[in-house]
Amino acid sequence: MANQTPVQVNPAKHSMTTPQSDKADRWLLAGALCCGTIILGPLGLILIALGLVRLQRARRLGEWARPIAVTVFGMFALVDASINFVGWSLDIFAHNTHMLQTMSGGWGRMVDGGYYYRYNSTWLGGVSDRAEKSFAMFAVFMIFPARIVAAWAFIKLRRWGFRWMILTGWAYVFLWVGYLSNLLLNFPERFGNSLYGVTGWWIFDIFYMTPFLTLPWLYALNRRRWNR
Amino acid sequence: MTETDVLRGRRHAIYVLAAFCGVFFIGGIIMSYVVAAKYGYGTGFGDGRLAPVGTVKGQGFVGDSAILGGAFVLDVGILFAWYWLISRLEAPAEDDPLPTDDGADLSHDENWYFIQVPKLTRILVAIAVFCTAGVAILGASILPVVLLRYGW
Repeated sequence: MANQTPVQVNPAKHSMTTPQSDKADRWLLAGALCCGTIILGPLGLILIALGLVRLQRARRLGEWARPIAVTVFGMFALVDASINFVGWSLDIFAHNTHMLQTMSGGWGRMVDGGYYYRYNSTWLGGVSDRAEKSFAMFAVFMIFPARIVAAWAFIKLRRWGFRWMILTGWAYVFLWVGYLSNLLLNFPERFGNSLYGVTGWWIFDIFYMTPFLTLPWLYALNRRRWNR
Repeated sequence: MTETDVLRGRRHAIYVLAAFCGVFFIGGIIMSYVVAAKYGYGTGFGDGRLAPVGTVKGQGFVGDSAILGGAFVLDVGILFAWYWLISRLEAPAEDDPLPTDDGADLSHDENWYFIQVPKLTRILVAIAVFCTAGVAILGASILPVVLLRYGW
């Protein structure tokens, strides 16, 4: 343990006490947690909206706070990643429960046949499409948990949060490209085996365009501001 | 390459990346309908076919609760593992120090940007707000809609 040098952590003026902003962040976090449960999404949205209002109020009171766009994009990434993480993790860990089989069966019959056709028939259980399951593993163990912690660290202006927002943003773009290709390659079993097929799936899934929106904006930011 | 070239280059790349969003989704949607037509399907409404659906078989209230509780614990564990790993691997250190304070007035939003793209930012923020609401509301609607349509 020789040659240890104190590390500069740059508290400077950006870490001055911000009680109102900190309270607003707690509302935002509570909102994100509610959205992450999937079923409490609308309540989560209300909490997030209250958090944003409080943050704006703090700015008006002269308290230092990050720009609203930083919070909006951070929360967008957080909510999107949480829903993906929890949704797919239930398929991996809880596919033997009545609730998951009901939910997957219904979702599958409506928009994606892969979620009911031969459900629970592979050794991993849950969705039986091999590629879909592989994407689920990638999503649950790699990209989305990393993106959740990155999004929160990004909101809290940690440098690694900024870096990992970009890293997981690109990983999410790669996921989208692979996922869509797989869906289309397995069209008859997926879209074709459902009631609302292509249109239904796009209506539900187009909102998950987080990385495509966030990445260009992230590259416009001054990364010096993420200095905690 | 001069600083001006770097700024111009990054600005162009930002707009190309933003345009890629539109190209990807419009292209993806068009491709989906082309593939649908190739397989003899239409828009998805009214032309879908259903395969036999398996029976739902849970583990009873206690068993299901235990599985869901276990899934929650595993999720928290995975999240914590990632937080632990990234926050340590990426912690500021002597070989990779934090930037020094440049004294900018951070109450002005423009000081947060290296490339000024206020119009693009406004458009992206509006879409992001709309998508956050869409993701949360549609995600929450799945189980109620399934229960209403297919029952428990």
